[in-house]
Amino acid sequence: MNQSAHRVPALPQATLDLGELIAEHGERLLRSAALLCDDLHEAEDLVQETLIQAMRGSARFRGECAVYTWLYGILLNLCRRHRRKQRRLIYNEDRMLSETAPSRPVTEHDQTYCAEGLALALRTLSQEHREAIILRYYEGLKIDEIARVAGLSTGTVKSRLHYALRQLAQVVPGELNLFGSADTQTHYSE
Amino acid sequence: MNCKTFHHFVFEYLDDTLDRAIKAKAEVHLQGCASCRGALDREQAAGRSLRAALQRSTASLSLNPGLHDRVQRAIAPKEKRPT
Ligand SMILES: [Zn+2]
Repeated sequence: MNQSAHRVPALPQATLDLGELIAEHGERLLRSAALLCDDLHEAEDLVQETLIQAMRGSARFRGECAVYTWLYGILLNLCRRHRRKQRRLIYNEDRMLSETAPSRPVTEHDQTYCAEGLALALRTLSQEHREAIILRYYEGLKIDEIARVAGLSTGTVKSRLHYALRQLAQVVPGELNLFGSADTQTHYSE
Repeated sequence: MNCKTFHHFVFEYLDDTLDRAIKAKAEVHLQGCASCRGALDREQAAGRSLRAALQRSTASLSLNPGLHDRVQRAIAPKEKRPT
């Protein structure tokens, strides 16, 4: 209310409204981020940073793709950068310490999230394969859409999916394992 | 079309994004190949269980109520401090 009285000189007409972005896409982004980076607090930070970048760059959004797809592209890049940084940190810590203590207490939130066998199974995949699975099965994207969002060829997307499914079939706990018998494996191996 | 080619196109077959000619060939192959029909069924079943599990594992997550304000603050132009 008060803000509108002191409105700052307008930025190039922003087509996006922050409140709307959060209401329409916030939760879905958070959940996807949690799956991608495997840490709720990181996921919250990544979603926040995604929205900041989106709002700052909103003049560049031309509506060529759906708003969510655009946001997702930003999120995916941030996740990738975050994972790379994390890997360096782990490497450095490993060199200095023989054992690392958990950095924060496990919350109830975490427990629900980690209790899922699938979350654990996803953790065994490399970042690229995890991404492929999440884009396909959580985001429900078609092969060509995954290729566009992830910046890959459709051939790469397909081979990552085949590989990731094969890996998951080996590690997913029994009750989630609907991938069929070892037969799947022989069929898919090429 | 042979099994290897069908395997290569299985996702696009499910997405229904194949060229009409390739799709027709895939369908002919499927009719005569129990192994690929089985693979297709398993891929669909895997998809269903993954979708359900991914949704279940994140269903309890919700946004932090302070998110809007934090983003708003970050994108607001910095106020000039009086010197
Ligand atoms: Zn076949």
